[in-house]
Amino acid sequence: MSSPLLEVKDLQVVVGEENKVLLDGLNLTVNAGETHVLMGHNGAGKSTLMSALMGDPRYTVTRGQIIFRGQDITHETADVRARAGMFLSFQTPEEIPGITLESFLRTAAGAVTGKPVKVMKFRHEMAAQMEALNMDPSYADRYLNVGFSGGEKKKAEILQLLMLKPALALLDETDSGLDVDAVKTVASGIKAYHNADNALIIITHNAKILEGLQVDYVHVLDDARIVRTGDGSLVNEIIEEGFTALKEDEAK
Amino acid sequence: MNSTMNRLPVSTWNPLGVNYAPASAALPGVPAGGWAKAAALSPALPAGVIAPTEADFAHFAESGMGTEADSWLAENANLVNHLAVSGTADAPVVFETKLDADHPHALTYLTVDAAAGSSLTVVQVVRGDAENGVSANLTRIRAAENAHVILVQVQLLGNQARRWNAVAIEEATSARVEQVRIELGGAVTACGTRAVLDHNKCEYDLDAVYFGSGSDVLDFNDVSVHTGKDTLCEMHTAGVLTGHASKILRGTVDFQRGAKRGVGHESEDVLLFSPNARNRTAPLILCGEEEVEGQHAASVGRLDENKLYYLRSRGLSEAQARRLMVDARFAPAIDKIPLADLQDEVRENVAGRLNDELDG
Repeated sequence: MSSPLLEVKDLQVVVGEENKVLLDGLNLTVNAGETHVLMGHNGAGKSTLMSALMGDPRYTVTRGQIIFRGQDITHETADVRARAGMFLSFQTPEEIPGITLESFLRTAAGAVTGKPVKVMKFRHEMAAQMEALNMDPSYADRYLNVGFSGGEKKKAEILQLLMLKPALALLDETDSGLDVDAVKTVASGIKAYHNADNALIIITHNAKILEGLQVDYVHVLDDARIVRTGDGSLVNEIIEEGFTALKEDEAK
Repeated sequence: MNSTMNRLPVSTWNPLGVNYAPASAALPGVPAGGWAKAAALSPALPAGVIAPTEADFAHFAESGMGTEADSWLAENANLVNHLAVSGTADAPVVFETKLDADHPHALTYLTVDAAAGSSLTVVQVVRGDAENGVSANLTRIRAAENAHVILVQVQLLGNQARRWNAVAIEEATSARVEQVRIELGGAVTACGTRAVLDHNKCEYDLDAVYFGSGSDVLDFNDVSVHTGKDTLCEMHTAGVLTGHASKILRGTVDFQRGAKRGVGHESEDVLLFSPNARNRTAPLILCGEEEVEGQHAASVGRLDENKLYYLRSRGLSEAQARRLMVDARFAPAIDKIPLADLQDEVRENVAGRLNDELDG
């Protein structure tokens, strides 16, 4: 059996000058081809885990390890992790005036592959992916996320996912703020990305974005750690009954 | 001399030190042996453009650097050119000067007389370096009714030479003058543009960028004077300061009586890459007319850490991300350079200066 794509071992993460503990003793293993869903109430630590995995400098790992593709990346910077094959779809993507979406994506593609990007081939692929995501082609020439609606920003994140083809995609509430049609479009984009060689970790409060995906594991975060792991059916159980009912069941 | 060069049109509290250029930016003394001879500038002229031997700009508006500096620059110029355009010039007129040990002084005086309805792009490029090198320039632009003039100024000097750049603009009804000013080198850089919008519906646009490093002194004074109705100015500057560089930018939109429905926007975005760099920004909006719209905005600080993280999460190293952010700030000006090779040269020049900075 091949080694896991991602192994998180006994992870402790703190933030701020007072070293507030946001994750403590968290363990998680993700294999290629799998889809994992993170659920939990607001403030449970879901986004913190995504940020810590991606190497957000605001968070400090004070214990444990993050092993990605056999490499200890616990203290590596975000760009090293990205070049190793990790990708985070941000909940609130940044606006970068002065750099067009296409220019940025080409620069990023060159950075993650370490190879020069063939412009025409890249443009054709990008145009096709934008069409699949129902994105107006003019967005390619607009400054990155500047003046984009919330939905267009999320689509731009999925466009980056499709173009950069990472081994592990971390999707932090990519469906939030999207209308029904946009959720379907984004979900189809995620499905198009996913294959046996890559893996997904998805934070969501909504089952719609998971349509068409085979969810292998659902993890419930609470009190800075994963308190329960189940199969895909746990998503609907939580959506229907809520986290409080789940905790009460656990207590019984 | 020129102790009040680049003077703020209305003085503020003197201890701030922004009312006029510091003594370190004063115009140079004339060398004992006079100015070195410079190679004549004879750019290719597109159809519709002529280069008369004389031009009458005797009673012309002052530049942003002031009357005294203008007189000095005109009198000391060792390279004088006049352009007159009628119709639409289908190619830019490009003036290129280079400083080196044999040609350490380039003091240029250029006049542009744009006839009614004409259109012209002028590009001024200065490169090279020399000990005690001087690059000084006075450009006067007269834009007649409906004329459109684009002035692109690119300064790529080394770190020994000193630079002065004065621009004076007069516009007639519905005329438009766009200025792109890219000042990347020089131990001293002092620039001042003044546009007089005293006819209806005329417009002045400035896209300026600068890069200050080491112990560079940078001093700017840009003024848009509105007296005509429905006039417009857009003055936007972006800059990077590193090392112990010190910069003052004065930007003034002066709505005088009669400038009804005048609109003026000015902004500056400064990136500080060093705690020892000093930035001073003095935006000024003067309102002598009620029905006007004036806005100023200034942003000073380090690169946004959240944006840096976002870029790095896409595989860009810290240095690549910083370069991209600077490119982004400079893009509005660089994109307006009408020559692709020169655009690339400017981008490479900026990248080289950033590399020096990031590599320590």
